[in-house]
Amino acid sequence: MSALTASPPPARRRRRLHIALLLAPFYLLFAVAFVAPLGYGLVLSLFRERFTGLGWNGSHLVFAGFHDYARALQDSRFLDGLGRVLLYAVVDVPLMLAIALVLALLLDSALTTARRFFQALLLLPHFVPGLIAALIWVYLYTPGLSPLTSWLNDIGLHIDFFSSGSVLGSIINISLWQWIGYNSVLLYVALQSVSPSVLEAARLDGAGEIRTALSIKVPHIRPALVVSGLFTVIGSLQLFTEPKILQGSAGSTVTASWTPNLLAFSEAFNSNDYSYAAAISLLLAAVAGVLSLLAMKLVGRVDRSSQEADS
Amino acid sequence: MHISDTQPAARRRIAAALSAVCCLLLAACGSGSGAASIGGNRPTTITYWTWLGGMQQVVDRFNATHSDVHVVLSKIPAGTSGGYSKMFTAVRAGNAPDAATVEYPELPAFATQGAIQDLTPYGGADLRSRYPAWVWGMVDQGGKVWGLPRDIAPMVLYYRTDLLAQYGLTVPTTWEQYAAAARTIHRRDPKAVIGAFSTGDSALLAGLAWQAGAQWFSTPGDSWKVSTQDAASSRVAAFWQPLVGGGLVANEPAYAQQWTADLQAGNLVTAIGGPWSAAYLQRLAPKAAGKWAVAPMPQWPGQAAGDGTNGGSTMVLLKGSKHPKQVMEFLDWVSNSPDSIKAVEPVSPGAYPAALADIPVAKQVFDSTQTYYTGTSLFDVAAQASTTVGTGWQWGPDMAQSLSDLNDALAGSMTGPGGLRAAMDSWERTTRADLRERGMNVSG
Repeated sequence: MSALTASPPPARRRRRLHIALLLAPFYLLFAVAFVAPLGYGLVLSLFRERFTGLGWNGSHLVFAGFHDYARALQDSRFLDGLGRVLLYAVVDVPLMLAIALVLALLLDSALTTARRFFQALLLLPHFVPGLIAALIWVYLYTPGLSPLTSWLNDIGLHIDFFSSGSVLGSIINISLWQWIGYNSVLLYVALQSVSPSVLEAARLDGAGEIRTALSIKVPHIRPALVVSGLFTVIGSLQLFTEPKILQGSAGSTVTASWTPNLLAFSEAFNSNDYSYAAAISLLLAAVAGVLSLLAMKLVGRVDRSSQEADS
Repeated sequence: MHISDTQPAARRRIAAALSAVCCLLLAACGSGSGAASIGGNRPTTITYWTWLGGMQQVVDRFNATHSDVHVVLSKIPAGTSGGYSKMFTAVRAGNAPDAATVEYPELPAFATQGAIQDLTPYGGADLRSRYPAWVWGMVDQGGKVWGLPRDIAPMVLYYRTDLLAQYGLTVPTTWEQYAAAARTIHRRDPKAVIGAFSTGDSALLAGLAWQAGAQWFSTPGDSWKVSTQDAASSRVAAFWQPLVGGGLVANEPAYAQQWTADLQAGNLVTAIGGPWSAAYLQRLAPKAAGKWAVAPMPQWPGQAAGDGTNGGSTMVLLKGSKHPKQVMEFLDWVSNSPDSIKAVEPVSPGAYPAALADIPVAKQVFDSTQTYYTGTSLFDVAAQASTTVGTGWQWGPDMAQSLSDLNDALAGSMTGPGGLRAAMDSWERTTRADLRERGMNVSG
């Protein structure tokens, strides 16, 4: 270390300067868009506003330490919401990945003609902003307005898409509609990197399309699958837009604290409790971080063991 | 954090006080010409945020008739749809407008959060006699005047004359008759209902409880008491539970998509609302012109006539305004001048002025311009209803949250055990805990 700091040769110093220059934009953006808000959120979460008497004399800011974190961990609304998004993830992620994978393999199989057309078609729902998609689906779910429910009624199916039992499924449906195409295109692109020679070898060995797909293609795109899965898990934890839109619809059972993000929003903008909202947001970020790390670790271990098996 | 947060605020307050003093001094010298004498005849520009219909016309009229103050209006989303958060955020960021619209339930939250200024130093307390006592009681709290009442909304019952006749019914005058009519209508036409009661509209439930004589919030002995355990609240819960659960009324929020579709299809025979609802019915179901009429709310048998409210708004002076005196002039003019009423009424028919002296003016405009409603004038019904509104009702210090919490409690109440009554019980506990968490005194 001391040798390095003493006096590096000019060439190396210049190179290090170049590296720093190239990295600077990233770290600058990282600091401004990530570290600073996180730090601000942390500071917000440590102070809370206290009132006295009836409250007419206004509030004063007091240091509260981790009071709001402890409060969140005992708040049934936060815990229920967290359970809900985890349940959502458990259903949504495998379903999403399975369907997207099948579609990607179909796109990639030699049988498919008009690939570009189907690719564009699959991506179409993703071009619709999430908010608009949710509004469209609320319309489709609302009895008396929706052609879908009246058609279902005609064939004898009376489904209440907003009831407490079915609303999670209704939201998963919106998410699938919006993200399957995106994920399948992502996986399809990964499939393009499978070497033609490997595929040819498999064919020569007598593997059919299905066998090739399962034994060659799927293992090959595992990293892409993991990335898709990870994004979907993090997206699930941050579930907000769809339930927020559904909340305003008639007879909806979605509450203002239905997901942790909704709870944070409501605490900040309904009751002006910014410190509690910040604490909830940071806890949520921590959960997402832990889940991501676990997923990465898991994949790393699987990859290493499969490499060992290969060699 | 503490210091850096309060210092600019303190500085602003000093600046505001100084400018107020300056204004007073100059006004004294310039024999009442006020702010106009500062820097030639340039008018003072103040900003005003609202979402209410017809306010642009009101502001235009104000600007045309005032040379000392110029008001710039910005349209914001409706209060509980994001307008209030926008205001709170703007106050926190120090770039709030000078004046804004706040509804009665949220006024205490704006006061306790320090987002609005007391109007007493600008003569606010002298205006008490202009308004009905129950109205003044909602703006004059904790010894301070937090806003000037602009419009009020004693609840009334709108009804379809043709549909009631078709079912062989008359306007229900008691809740018993209302329930009986509900059963008749639903039996005759399974698609039709007498009206709507939404488990997503806690403000409606609050208004109905108020009508029955409930008092959910009160402040005995310098602490908040939150209770829905009174007979009136239980009576309201027990009344609506079977109607909503049995599908005899539509469980859908008023003015939303589904409700509008039912309104247009003639599936809603009556609608509970404030005088302002008149403009909405007219706009959402133009084809039903000449078929709607207005009646007083159904009453509880064995009780003196009562009413609650459903809406209404105040005009407030936001924290950080540098021109409180000019803002007060604007607030005063909007909430109490025939000119302002004449500007708003044609655009937003049914807007019911809070100031007693303005009601005949509004009635005259409404009666002479609208052709949608038949029968007794909306203004006569509302005037009578206003005298029966219970004076004891008080809104809590955090109603945006409390009403949202009540909606959450109500959301599953029709399928959950205990129904509406249990939802109110759980809401009451949540609210007490919420207020306690903030450090306020809570009793019971």
